[in-house]
Amino acid sequence: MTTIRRQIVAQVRVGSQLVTDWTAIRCQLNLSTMFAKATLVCHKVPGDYNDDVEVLMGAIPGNGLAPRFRGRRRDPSEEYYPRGIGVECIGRLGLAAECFNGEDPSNVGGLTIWDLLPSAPATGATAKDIRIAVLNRAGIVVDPNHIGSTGRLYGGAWVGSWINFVWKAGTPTGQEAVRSHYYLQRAGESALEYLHRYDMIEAEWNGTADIGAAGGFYRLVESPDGDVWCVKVGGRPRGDIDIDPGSGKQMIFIEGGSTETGVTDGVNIKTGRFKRGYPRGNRVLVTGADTGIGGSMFFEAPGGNCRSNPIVNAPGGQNPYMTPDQHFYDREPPSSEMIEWDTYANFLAGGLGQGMDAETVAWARYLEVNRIEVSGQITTGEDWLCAPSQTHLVQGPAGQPDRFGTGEKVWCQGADIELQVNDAGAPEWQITTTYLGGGQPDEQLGHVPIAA
Amino acid sequence: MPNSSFGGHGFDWDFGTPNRELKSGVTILSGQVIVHGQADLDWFFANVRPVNIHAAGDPSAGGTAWVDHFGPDPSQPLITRILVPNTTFVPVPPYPPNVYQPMQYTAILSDFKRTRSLPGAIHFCNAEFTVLDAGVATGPQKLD
Repeated sequence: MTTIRRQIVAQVRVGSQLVTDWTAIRCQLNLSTMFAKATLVCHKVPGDYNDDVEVLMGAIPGNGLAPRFRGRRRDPSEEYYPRGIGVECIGRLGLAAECFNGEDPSNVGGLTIWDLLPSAPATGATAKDIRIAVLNRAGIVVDPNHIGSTGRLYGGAWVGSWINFVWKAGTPTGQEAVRSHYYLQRAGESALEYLHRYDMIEAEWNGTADIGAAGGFYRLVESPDGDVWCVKVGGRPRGDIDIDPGSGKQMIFIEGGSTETGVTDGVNIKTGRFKRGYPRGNRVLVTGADTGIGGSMFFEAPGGNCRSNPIVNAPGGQNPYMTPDQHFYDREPPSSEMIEWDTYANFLAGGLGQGMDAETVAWARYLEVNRIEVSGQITTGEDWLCAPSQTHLVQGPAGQPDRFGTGEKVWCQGADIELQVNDAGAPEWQITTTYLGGGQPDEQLGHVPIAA
Repeated sequence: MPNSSFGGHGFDWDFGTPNRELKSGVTILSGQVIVHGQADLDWFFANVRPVNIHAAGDPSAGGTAWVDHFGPDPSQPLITRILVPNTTFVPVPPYPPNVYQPMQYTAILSDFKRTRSLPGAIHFCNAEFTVLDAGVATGPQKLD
């Protein structure tokens, strides 16, 4: 048994106030919760509504007072009474979820691309510029270098589809105006809802669905230090394992190991569970709205009578569970009215880099659904700067799959960091990470780099 | 002369102690101790540091144990004696099968309570030391 003594340190600041009476801190960064959240349990409520909140914590030796959460204070909660008062906090992306558009200066149903970006050319704007403009309106200042995109142009005046890119204000759009029963005023669309519409279509795919397949969607991610990033994620791991800045070690998690393996060095998983699932489907049908042809269009991957039945990382490259003549469709295809082309060839034929095509979206999604999906979570005592979008390695002793059945790189979907003071007055520290994997590591996927 | 010390402050283990247990793979030495002065007693109380021990893996087959605490490093040299199998003396009667081995560990005083005191500032206390290393022998084994 290797014994490691550590000093646990934490510094919580709400507004200008240093909080010293906390008894528990929980920071949750998870792509499935849209934005980061934190819960502080204190003896009395610190600060005031909307105060800046900063949580630094970690272990020495380790990352020490490393940023784990930055955001804003929200409501106190009686959930922890009588031990303390819980204080809910939201990450900076949460501000985008609370920012609803109510502006409709041109009476078109909301803000157009040109309302957001007055200097944008008639050909439209990239998702990067749109994201930055929308986040700025929500009061979130971002580093432009942290926001990635496909570079395609959206919302241009070249066809009538610009109306599909309007940030809705709850007022009738041009299309709805002719339908009298839609005249009722509704709440507008939040900045985060609007940007997630781009998350669904901002896809890249390298043209292959078998060995060497690469692709994914640009998604907004919040880093532990509160920065907002937009990186390409594919629900699959990257080739490189992320490195913890505090220890300089690759983030490799090793389960306890059954007695048969004999090797237990470096074991750092306290509890966990993993599941290897079946493919979600072998067909993805994505629909869009091609205003040029006056209606909807679609692309199906793989198309029509295609006999190819590739599956990522399966023996022989074929899906052993779903034969080509069995059409198991993805039940959650990223269809959107903001997809303007059916095929990539037609997009190229357009010649101006405008709009997204259903083919790219369908194949990028295909890589996520037609694979042996590996999902699970672990709890560790390590003080590593775990964050969504990282690639970790989860394995048994000596690098072999053991009771979890996984000895491979997995993509970190969320990190839940908890620190509380137990009855004896000692710190209880743990990190729970949630994973998604399966499929070949994709070198072209992005991640949020974490610096010490 | 006390038979043990922690951070240079002497104390005696009471008869039959220390108790020894493994908690998540970490050795805990605990039991009743006798502290022979008020200054030492105050020092012990000032240097108690609760710890949380949590482990990954099977403690009997290796793994990692984290000993977490708040504040600066509270570990100090613990010089004590523990019961070990007799390897120094020929194990024939009247020599007992077990002897005491003087050992030096690095440890944290993770719990400390005074239970009663006697005239002359002699204090009976319950102490718990969380041992962080395998320790080194500081002298020959001794018959008790």
